[in-house]
Amino acid sequence: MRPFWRRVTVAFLLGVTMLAITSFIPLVTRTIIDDGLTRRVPGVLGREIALLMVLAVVRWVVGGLRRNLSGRVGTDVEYDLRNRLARHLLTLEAAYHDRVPTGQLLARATSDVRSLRYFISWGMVFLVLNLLTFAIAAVQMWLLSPRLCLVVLALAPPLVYGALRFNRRLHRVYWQVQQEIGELTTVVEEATAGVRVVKAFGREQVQTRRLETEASSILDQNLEAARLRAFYTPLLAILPQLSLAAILWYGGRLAIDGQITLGTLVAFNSYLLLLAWPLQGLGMLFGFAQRAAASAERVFEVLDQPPAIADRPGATALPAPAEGPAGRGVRITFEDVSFGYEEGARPVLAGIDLDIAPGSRVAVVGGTGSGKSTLLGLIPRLYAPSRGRVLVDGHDVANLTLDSLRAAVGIVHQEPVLFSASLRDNVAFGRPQATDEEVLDALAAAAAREVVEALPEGLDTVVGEQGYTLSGGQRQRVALARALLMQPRVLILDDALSHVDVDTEAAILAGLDSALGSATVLLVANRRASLRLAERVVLLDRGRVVAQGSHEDLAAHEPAYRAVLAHAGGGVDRLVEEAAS
Amino acid sequence: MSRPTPRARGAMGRGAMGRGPASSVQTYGAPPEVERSSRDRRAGRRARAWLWPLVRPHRRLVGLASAAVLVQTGASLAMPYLVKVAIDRGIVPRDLSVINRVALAYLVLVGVQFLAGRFEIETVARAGQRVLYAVRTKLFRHLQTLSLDFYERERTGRLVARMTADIDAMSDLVTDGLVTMVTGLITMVGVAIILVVMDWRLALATLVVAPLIGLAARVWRRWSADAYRRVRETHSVVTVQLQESLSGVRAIQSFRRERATAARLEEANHDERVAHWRTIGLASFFFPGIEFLGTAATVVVLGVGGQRVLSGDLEIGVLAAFLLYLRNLFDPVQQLSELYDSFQSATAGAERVGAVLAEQPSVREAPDPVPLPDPRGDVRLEDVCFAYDQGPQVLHDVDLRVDAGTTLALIGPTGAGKSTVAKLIARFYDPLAGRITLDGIDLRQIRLADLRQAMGYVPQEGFLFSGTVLDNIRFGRPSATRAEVEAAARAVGADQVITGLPDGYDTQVGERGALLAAGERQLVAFARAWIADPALLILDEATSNLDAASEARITDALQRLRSGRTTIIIAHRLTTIAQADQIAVVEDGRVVEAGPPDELLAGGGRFASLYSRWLAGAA
Repeated sequence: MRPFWRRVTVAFLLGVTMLAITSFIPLVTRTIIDDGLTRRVPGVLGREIALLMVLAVVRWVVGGLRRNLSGRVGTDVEYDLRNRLARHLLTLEAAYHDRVPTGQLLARATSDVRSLRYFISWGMVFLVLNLLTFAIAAVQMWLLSPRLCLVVLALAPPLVYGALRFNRRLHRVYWQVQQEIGELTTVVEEATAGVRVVKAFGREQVQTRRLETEASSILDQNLEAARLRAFYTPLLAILPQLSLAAILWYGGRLAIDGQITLGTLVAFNSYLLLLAWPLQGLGMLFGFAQRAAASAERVFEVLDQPPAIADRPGATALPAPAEGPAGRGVRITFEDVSFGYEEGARPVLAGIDLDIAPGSRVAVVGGTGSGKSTLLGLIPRLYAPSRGRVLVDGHDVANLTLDSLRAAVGIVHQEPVLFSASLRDNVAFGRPQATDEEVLDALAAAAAREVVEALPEGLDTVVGEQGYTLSGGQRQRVALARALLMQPRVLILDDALSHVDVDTEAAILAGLDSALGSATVLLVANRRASLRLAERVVLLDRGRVVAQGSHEDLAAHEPAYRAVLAHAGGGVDRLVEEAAS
Repeated sequence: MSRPTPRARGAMGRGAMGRGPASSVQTYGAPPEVERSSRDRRAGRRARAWLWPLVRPHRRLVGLASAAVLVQTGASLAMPYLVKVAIDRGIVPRDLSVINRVALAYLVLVGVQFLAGRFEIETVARAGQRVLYAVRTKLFRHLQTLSLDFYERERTGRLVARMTADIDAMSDLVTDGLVTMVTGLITMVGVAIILVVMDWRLALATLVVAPLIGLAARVWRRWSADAYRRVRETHSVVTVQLQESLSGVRAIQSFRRERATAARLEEANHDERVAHWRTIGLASFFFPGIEFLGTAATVVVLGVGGQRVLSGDLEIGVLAAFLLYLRNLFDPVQQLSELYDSFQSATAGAERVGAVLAEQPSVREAPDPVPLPDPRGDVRLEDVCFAYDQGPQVLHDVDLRVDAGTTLALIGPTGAGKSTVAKLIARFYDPLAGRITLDGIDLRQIRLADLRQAMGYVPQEGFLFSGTVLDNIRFGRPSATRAEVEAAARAVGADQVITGLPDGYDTQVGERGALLAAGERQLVAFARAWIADPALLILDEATSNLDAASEARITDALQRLRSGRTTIIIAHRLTTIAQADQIAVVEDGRVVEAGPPDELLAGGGRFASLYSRWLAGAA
């Protein structure tokens, strides 16, 4: 921030220079008229005209430099703040992003930093210059006539009071405006992301109404701001005129009584008029300033949000695996783990105790909302438990560096996000230096080689939001390849193959061993085929572990598990009957 | 299908910077972008054409505001005169009553100035903000009419940028700009007339600088148009990357790509900063330059006029007055040139908004649409072929027949084209060849509103909007009462799950439903489809996200739903397939097998072999 203030100071000094030159030019003109033309002093006209040209050129240069400097400071501040926001947002935990709409965050990184740039580029220097002009004029007037100056200064208290009040109210309104812009951004973002649903239900009207609501809130708030400005800006502008009326009335009397000269009165007038511009500008500048202040508040609200999940002081790296293929898998232990989004809300997980041996395969089964995804998200610390500990090879994950922990954990979500980049870049997301060979191997292990072949430009095809449309199953397999390429020591499949057909899923799961060595594998699954591939099944219900054991054991002895499975088999049975008949 | 990677686009964009207008097309990178930017340009010429109808209703307000500005100017011009009267007739002859009256008149003028100022600001804001509101809603409404192919081409962040930053760029112009322009022009013309009347030869000398100003304006426009376009373009790249990074933040964190992502963002951010630098540099050169030309005009007047005064050809008083008026001439020129800055920025914004407005929906309502108030749900696909946006053909001669009230299950390997078939039936796209009919009418002929009314679609993702569970179910039928919503939830077996949520139906689901589990989201999406009560229901792999217990509930509900309703299901799971009246096996964009499940099983074809392997897996 230091170079920033230095440059602002320089810009301010350049502004003062501009002001000085601008006020010096009329003096040159006066010399030309008085000395050169009236008294006809020879040579004055040429000399002074040359001086005028020099002054004009200097003002051009100084004015350009001033503009350039403050403009650049503004963009630099915008650049810096936006980078800080982006870096910070990327460190904030998943629970924060679950809670805060993307649109609001986007608006802060775009619209709010923009209003800060505006103020810094165009407003700040002028605000200071205006206040300075104000002070200089006040001193000059005091020197001319303290008595008249007191009359003028009598207006100062209501002026200051009015300005403060104006600022406070304007700040509130602009805060609201920026907030509504965030809401509007959210509506646009959502309507675009969910366009298929909107189209399918023909609910374009509903979306449009939502947008109109936000847009008209922005309209209302902006009109409210305009009403405030419409009262205070002309008020500030007429204040010097108001005192001029008073000066005419009172000063006129003093002049008639001979207590002040006529010249003093006229000079006083011109100083008062000197104030008209700065005061008029002040109303506008206060508007700029308050909008910037409201935006700064919103930006720093995000920047001040401490990441709940970050490297602790003294965090250590997860020790590298022992030599040999058998040592790769890690032990995962849950000790009395609970998780909830907010205090007092329904806990998503409650008192989970689990021990998962290195290199084993464990399936997590449970009804909708039983907490399966959250449980698995705790291992790479995407979420942090509200109580209890999660241990990887005996190390509390909270005490490990995020880098080493997340390098060891590969996670594939049910609805994976692919980025707008080539297929290669997407697969090599976690290991950008991977060769094409390795990328293709990972795709092969995820049974996605034919995805590459189906794409018009193979690995170079751009996929993701703007790119080639992949089906749900293709997306899931690409996401799996992305995780496999990292050679994780724990692979978490969060219902990650739900869009993949059974054959392919079986082939993938069978091939995992050769792809990953003896990595620990945790999967959320609902299909019997997948469950049978797990050595152990953990049954979750409403955030608690209600049973665990092998698929056969549970199927034989656990009614709750049978209940979950019973329905899954129903259709098959019927089909078998129909086929037999 | 050649799409440049963002990195390549950034690099090319920077390479082309500063090469001037001739190479400006390349500023935006590789082929698809070029195409878009030339489309932008063409639309830019139409920018005024689309903007004008939105401004026109408020032209009276702009006129009134300009009048208010003139009143203020008049009042401030009268004030020095009052001071002169006070001195000449009050103070010098020592007449207190004149001073009292003048002071009073002065007060009145101040009051007029205040009122006129207040009126001006309010009026300008009312007109400007309403225009912005109209632009925003018009653009969004248009976006809502565009078809899916547009959304597959565009990135969310770009659209967000157009709806926010590009429109904001227009705000300065429509709020303060119009009035400044009108009053500035009036003042300039007035002053110019006075100058000519005072001394036409001196006035002519002043005009020497006029061509220079004109030239400067031309050069400025040429140079700056691309610079401002570049600002808008780089800004939308920043928005795109921010949006993608935020929506993919979980993946970024799991793969420890925070630093790399931030670095990429910084690069885009830097590109925008550099683009700003160029506009700032240009403005820093030109606007003080215009000011310089104003002073130069003064110098010319002093030089020429001074010579004439010395030769006794001109009175000093005239020269002095001339100089004062000259200031009044160049102040508005200065103001107008400053305005050019926001004008250029606004034009760039308006161009980009105009480009979106120029997009035509590819799925359009027929000029003479057939109403379908009471659909039965009889679906036919006849020789349907399809390709996405000039890509390879993904469907080949698909023939399918789904009688009203029956269920068709589409099965086959991933990427075979099942979802595409479903999307075509939902008329998200129109087929390349062949036709799809509902109740014997080509989908393209049916009134769109009726078609959407006839259909319910549950996409793979079970997309939810932020809001409550109640809001989301009601999305299927906005007029539904709470009781109807609850009934729908009961009907699909979501009731138990929903009432188990912390606030039941009033639980906030978060963005994309992030605060709900995947299965919960899916159940809500089902209830949403149910309450819409469509004649034709399309489920795109939707059941695969459910755990067995919930799926069983849905399976039951579907059985009830099926009566009187045509259903098309894409599923990989036997539980769903088993309920179908008909199965179509899709492979490589062709229907390779179709018929009732038992027939296909007996026939020993692909379904039969798939089935036996399935059974082996499930046992």
